[in-house]
Amino acid sequence: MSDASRTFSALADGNRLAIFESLVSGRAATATLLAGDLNISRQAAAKHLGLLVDAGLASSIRVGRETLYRSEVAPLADVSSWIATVESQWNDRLAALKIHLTN
Amino acid sequence: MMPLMSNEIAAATTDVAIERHTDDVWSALVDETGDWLGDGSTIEPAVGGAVRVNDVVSGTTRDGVVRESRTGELLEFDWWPTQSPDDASTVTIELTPIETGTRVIITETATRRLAASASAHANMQWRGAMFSAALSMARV
Repeated sequence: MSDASRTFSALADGNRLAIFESLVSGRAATATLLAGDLNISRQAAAKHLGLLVDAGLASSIRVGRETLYRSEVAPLADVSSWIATVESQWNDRLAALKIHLTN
Repeated sequence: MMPLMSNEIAAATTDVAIERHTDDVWSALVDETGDWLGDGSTIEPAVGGAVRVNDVVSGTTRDGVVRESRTGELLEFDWWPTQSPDDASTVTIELTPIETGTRVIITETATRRLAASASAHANMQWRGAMFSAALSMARV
């Protein structure tokens, strides 16, 4: 699976995307706080956060007895790169189609 | 580059104008596929039809299946690298008659794969605007 695919997959769940959005909005948060915002269990929020961390889309730090999570946007560059690559490839394919049809 | 973020996580789109009738362009897409995508490439223009591409551009072989086919108008298929089926995406090819011939519009998205990945999650909602903002942050 490519880096972009990992990013896509990590964000393919509605709750996970909502958690990521919340973190991107600028505040670090605990699993308990995020669970309350989304009306899901703390365990579910912690699982989603773990998957986001695995995908590089979030990081955590221990503060006393709490674990704070914050977003990491670097993997989204993989998505941007995927778009640029795909567009470039189709430009080449369409150029070949045009040459085939007009020569 | 035009990322589309409404109901989609990522999409690339591009287009070209070709000075040939739409019928000729359609024929090239589905009957002469090997002449522009790569020798031996074939696309069966029917729902469920097989896609097999020896892609000279990426240097890979790709397999796929046709999702929609409207002769002379639209061809849509899922495809993936033969060696990496998890990296599937959806290609939509639209043909539009223009004064000088035909405009070919290509859109390739990750939407289908995401939808498949999320099929077990009935409450999935895409919030494209926020994701778009995040993507913009990533580019900074």
